[in-house]
Amino acid sequence: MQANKAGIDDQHLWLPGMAPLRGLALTAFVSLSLMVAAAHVSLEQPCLGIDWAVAQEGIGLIVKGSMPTHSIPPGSRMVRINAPDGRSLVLHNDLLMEDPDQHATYAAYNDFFRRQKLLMEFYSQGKVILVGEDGSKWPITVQRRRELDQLPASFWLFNVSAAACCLIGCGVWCYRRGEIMGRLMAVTGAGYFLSIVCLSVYGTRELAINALLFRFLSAANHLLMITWCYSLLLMFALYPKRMAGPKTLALTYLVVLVIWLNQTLQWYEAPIHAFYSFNHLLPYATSIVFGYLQWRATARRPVDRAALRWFILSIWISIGVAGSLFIMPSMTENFSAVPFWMPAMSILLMFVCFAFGILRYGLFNLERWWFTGWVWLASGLVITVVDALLVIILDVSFRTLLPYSILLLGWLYFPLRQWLWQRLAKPGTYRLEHHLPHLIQSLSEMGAVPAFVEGWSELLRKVFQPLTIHLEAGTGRDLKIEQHGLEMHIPGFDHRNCLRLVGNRQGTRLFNRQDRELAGVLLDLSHAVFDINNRTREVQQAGAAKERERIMRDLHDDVLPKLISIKQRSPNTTITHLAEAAFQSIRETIYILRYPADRLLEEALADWRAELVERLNSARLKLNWQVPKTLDGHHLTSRQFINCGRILREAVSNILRHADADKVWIRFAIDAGRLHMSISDNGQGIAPNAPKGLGIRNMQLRARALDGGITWGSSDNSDQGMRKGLTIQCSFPLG
Amino acid sequence: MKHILLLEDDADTRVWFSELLIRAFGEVKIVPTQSLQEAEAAVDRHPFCLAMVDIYLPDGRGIDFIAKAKPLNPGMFCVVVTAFDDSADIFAALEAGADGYLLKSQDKDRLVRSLKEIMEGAPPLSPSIARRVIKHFGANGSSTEIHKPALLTQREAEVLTLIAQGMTRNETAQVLGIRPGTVAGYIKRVYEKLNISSRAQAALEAKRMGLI
Repeated sequence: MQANKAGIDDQHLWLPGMAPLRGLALTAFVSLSLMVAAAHVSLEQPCLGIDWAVAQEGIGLIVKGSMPTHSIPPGSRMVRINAPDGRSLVLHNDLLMEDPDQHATYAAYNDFFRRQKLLMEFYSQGKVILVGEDGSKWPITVQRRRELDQLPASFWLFNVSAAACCLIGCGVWCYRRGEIMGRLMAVTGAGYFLSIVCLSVYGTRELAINALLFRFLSAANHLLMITWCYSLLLMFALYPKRMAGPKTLALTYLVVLVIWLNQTLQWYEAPIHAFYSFNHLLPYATSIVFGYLQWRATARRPVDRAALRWFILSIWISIGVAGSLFIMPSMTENFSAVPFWMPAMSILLMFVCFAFGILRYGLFNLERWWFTGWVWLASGLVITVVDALLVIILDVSFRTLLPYSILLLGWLYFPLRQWLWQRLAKPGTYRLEHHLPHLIQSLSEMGAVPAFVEGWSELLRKVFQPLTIHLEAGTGRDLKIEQHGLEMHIPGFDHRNCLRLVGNRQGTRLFNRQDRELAGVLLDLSHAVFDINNRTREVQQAGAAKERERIMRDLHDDVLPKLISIKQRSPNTTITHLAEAAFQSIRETIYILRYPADRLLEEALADWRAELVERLNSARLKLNWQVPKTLDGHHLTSRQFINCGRILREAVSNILRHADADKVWIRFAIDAGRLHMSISDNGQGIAPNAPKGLGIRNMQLRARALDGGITWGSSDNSDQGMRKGLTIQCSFPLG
Repeated sequence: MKHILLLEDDADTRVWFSELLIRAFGEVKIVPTQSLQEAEAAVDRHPFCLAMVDIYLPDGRGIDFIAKAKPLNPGMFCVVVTAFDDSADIFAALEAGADGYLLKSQDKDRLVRSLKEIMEGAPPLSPSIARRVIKHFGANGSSTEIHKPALLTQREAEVLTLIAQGMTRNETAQVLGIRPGTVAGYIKRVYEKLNISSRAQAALEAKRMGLI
């Protein structure tokens, strides 16, 4: 899909089998090799062993430091350089210009090279004489080549920062090969790096290098500079809306070639600045036009606009800073000594911004995973950059740097970087593969549909961290992004409800294509788990019902007849009672298994009455049964029915066995959702401290099972002129 | 000598039940059977005055035996013997034509008394079965086409309602101002009507299916 969008076939990729990470490693290797080559060339240049600084006035260079053998006092100002053959050259401070194209005219640029050539001719004689402003003469022997520690730190800073840009640009290309934006990123990154490699050789020279090499590198630098600047411009024309076709692309690079040929062959001198006008100012101005057009084109597409905003600001601010630091002052013909590493850092910042744009806005259709690809490379580079920065800022040698570097890294940089990374990348830390096992487990544990929907919402909350999730009635079956990425609609499980997620990642991001795909995958997964759950539950329920039926049958057909036989045939009353108790327990078990539903309290009371009145009447006891007139449709669960019935039976059995009573009162009342029952008799009662029998303990257990209480007390039958008997009072919550 | 059919698959139960029957009726010939097949064969050989039928048997339900044997032997009292008062089973037996039911778990004295009562035309009726009967014949007297040949009378309905509330036969008689024996008669008629209505229903269904 990506390739089709770019109009390029995947089949025609250069090195089609190259994995992204391998491409990245290759880029790193090539970059490193080029850096080493640049260092080698730089070291092969002659030098005087003097650390120069620019004097504020036009004429003269200041000796900041020199080799001890020279014995030049630091701060001395040299105004001329004389050759043994008598030729002489004024030391104008533009000799320290890092890039001769800072000269605004071809004439000045050519004069610079004339003097470079002259200096090299002086050097070739092996000895030069520096003339101070006070007329003092300092003979200096020319070194054939520079030592490694004579190479300024800025050399490494240039190369390393530019290599980082190259890695970012090529990193995008490695993951988005075949796409025009990926290619432009690669051209921009690599072009910038190569131009800086050239610059690093001549920009960090002491005073002069081989003039021909200088000319060649300067020309190469120009070509590469123009190329990457215009490639950056092309990105404006293509992202997010494609405003230019392949023809415009070809034309642009033709223009690049023409501009370069023009300034190399010096046909036409541009106004304002011979080099920067076309190289930098024209593309920058054009980018403003394209930026405006893109801004208008994305008026109704907030996702694209958010990405565009980041993209535009990255470029404009970085290039703007670089321009105001370096290009603008140099155009006023006022040579300033802004060191080149500053704009270089600004360009690095631009590429880093691209990288974070990918992280946050999915620039170039890349997502956060892109980072993991090169973060290990980049972090190594960044550390090197920090080292290089320390060299310049602290102005210390490599040898003394190491402990500082380690301390700074350990105590400041790493915690700072970690904090920054957490802040920037935190919303993107959700990794599906890490959560998958837990996800499936939690989905599996969910029970019925409502619980499942709740769990599903929770999962989406975890994955997308939306501001809110609404459950809405809706028949939508499609997963869609609405409100320009502000909302995502996810269909529910029963096709009646759908979930509306508002504000991706706590509103910091808009929902994009990747989010929709992720949601789709999660939805499919949840559907599968949901179906499996349902089927499993059905099977389990069927199995449980079958098993329940089997247990019931076994109890009913095997155990019950045997217990009844024991009861009916045993002459021993103890055994008969035990068998009866066992029989009742099993009867209740079967009852619960067979009739698990709730029953009306009214019916339960009728059943108990019939049973108890029969028992009491057979023993010639009278029953006074009182129930409320209305029972308000109260229900008993099957367990309440069993337990409450047990208490009643047990109480009646006790009365029949021990009380020697002739009347029994059983009263029921409902109050505040509780069923109160009291069983009284007019028997002999019990002594207050009589040991509790098995029956009483059994009743207590049953009452506890009912979540209720039971008490024993004396019946107050005095008003009826009868003996005080025993009253059992029990109450438990209904419902 | 009177012949009594005992259909019961559990050997121990057969033993003590035989003892019980002898205690209740004195000199009787008890024919023990263990399966529907055996029982059906026995019914063909002897005239029985009483059949004691267990519900769950190895080759089917005792209820089916009653449904089959009762119309052919109208003089044979059919009593269902069940482990406990599971109203669904008992109600099904009454529909099939049973004249009464006994709970095996009851005391022997109670069992003997109940058995005698059944033989005297005063079968037991628990509240839960009474409720089922009321439900079967339709709430507040309204009835469907099927139950027409066996509609309950006002008195029968009253008796059933009181029993469904947990009243004994005597208490019901007291409330209605009639003799306990009359209540028993109503109950027996309800039994018969239950059987008739279920047979009418079966016939109606057979007709609908084109069997008659």
